[in-house]
Amino acid sequence: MDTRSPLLKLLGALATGVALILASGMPAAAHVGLSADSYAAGSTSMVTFGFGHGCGDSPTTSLAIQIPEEFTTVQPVYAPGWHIEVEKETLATPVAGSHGQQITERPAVITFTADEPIENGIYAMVTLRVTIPEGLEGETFYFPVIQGCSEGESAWIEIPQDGQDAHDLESPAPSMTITAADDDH
Amino acid sequence: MQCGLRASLVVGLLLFVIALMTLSPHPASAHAMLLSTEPAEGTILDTAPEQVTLTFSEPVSVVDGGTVLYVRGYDPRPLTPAVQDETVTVSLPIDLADGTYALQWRVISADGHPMAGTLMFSIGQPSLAVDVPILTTSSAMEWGMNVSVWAKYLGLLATTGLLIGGWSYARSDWRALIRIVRWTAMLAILGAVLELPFAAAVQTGHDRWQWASMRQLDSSSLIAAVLVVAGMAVVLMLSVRDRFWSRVAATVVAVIACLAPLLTGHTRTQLPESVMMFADAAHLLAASFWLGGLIILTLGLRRSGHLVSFATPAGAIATVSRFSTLAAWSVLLLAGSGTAMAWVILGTPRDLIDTDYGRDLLLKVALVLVIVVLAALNRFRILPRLERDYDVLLPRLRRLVVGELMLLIVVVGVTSVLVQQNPNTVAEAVQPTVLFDGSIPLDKDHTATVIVRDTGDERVTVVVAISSSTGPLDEPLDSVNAEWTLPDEGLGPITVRLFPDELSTSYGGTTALPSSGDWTLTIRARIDRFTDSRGSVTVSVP
Repeated sequence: MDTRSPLLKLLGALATGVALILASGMPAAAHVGLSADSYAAGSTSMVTFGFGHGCGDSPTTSLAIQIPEEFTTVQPVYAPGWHIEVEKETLATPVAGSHGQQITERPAVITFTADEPIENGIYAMVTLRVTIPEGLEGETFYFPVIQGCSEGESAWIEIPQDGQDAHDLESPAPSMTITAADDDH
Repeated sequence: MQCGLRASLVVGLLLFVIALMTLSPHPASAHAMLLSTEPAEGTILDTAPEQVTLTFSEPVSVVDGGTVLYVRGYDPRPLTPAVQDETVTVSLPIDLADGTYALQWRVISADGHPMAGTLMFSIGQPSLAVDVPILTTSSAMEWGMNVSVWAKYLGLLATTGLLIGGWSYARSDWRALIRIVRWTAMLAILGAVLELPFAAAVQTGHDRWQWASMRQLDSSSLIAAVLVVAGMAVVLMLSVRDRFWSRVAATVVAVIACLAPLLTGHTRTQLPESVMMFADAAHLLAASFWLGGLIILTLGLRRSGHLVSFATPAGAIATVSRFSTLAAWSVLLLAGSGTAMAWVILGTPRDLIDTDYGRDLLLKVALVLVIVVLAALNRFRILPRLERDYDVLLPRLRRLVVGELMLLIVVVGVTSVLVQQNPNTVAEAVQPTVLFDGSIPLDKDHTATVIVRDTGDERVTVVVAISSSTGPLDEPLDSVNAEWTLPDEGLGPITVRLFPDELSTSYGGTTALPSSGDWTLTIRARIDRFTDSRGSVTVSVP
């Protein structure tokens, strides 16, 4: 492959440079985001997933959210205009709930299906009521989302690798960091 | 009995004449080569083409079942090509999906050489090219053909050479010679008949002897075979009665049959045709004179030899001297005509070393040089002293003559291989080099086994197999991608979609990398709907 001329190499590098400049000059890439970056351990929080775009121009028809294993108590919040489906998974070892009951299964995937497709450019939200687990303070958790559209889908499932910045990812998974418990809990 | 013999003689002569008359001149040109294709090799097309066109340098014929379309994930599809002189048109099915296709073709050039190749093109997005089975003719069939051709040439050349010898330096031995001719003529018939099914198998790419595929043989091969068989049969029948005119007829028919190989092979397709025809005819006749002469000498010089010409020492010396002088001229003729033909067939002197054909030709020349040295020993060292020291030198002369004969038989064998060989085939083929072969962890449960090959033309192919800690995956993955980045030059990422093979056990794709250097290859696999796992490795691209 040594046959490539220096001129071609230079042109290749220039083209890449121009592409990078164009990319950085664009408005922050569209993505599915959470209402907050961090949540207090032990709290019961409203975690909202919002998006303001379809898959390209195609209107959004569904949002499927994968719940991290560590989150055992998660409820979808009633949402007019959406049909909600919860896919459950049996826990390998049952855990104790906050009211003394045994929790044997947890929601693995919660899917919101829109009654009417949501046009690109309309901002929309769905919410989960999440009990933030304790003992995992300082860690970051990812909620991979598949945005289904009339045509195609967008997979917001990328997780940054060690040393990688989430902002560099093309389609990052929404994430939250667990902070120390609030004192007024 | 007499009547039956006469009837078959008439039939034989008739066949012989018909075969002769069927020889219409062929359009002659250079050796068949693939000149161009439409679409061109490696083209990526937006939509599926209706047909593929292959253009050769000379008219070709196609072989049943020789054109097959391959694409990863589907069964190979045999297609039916149409041929118009030097253009082969292959209509493609209309339901071709996106991906990389390999069209394997097989044709027979006007001189009877099979040619095969593979044309790769992509529709929409390139995918991992399917491994097209390499078309190799079974070596058993090739050897069968070579041995048959060898027998045919030996028989033809010996028959003609013996009869010519009977007219020139061994006139008193016609009756003895005609007895040997019966065997050599049978050998020629046997070789010519056996050659057909072997040649058909080689031309059509079958690995078995098939009379059925013989209908695909080109007409000139068949006519040449008929010419040899009919000619030799006529010689056999004429040998029964010894009359002056039957001698003349047998010799004339043998000479014409001996020239039958002119109808096939390189002679037909190399320009200028007249030069090739003349040179090849001279070559064949000179060779037959030499071979026939060595057979006569070998038999005559035996202690219990029955040949009249060798009955007395004086007679033997005179006969050997007469042959020796004529043989020297025939060798000159052989060398001259051989050089002329090699000049025409081989494009450049480098082809002598670069092609299989050239190398075999050098072997032949080397063997002939050894024979010439032996012959020179006979002529200049032994023959002048033979009269004085007959009893001592005769065994030595005989050994040298037998040695020459054996070597000449080997030379005819090498020639039989040469006439079947395509002079345009270069000996070596480029092999892809492996740039990386190893495992990349994708996440705590999954590992990618990756092979990266440099396939030439600045292209690399990545083949990935993904397994989980519990073994191979049950389901094919939705997407597997290779991302190439060259951090040193800020190049990339160049993303290549890797497509599954038939069994979804591995995924592969090819891309061009615009620069050499230490590229980072990242394998990204959609392990499940929500999981995008990846791992990286550094690959040095030369």
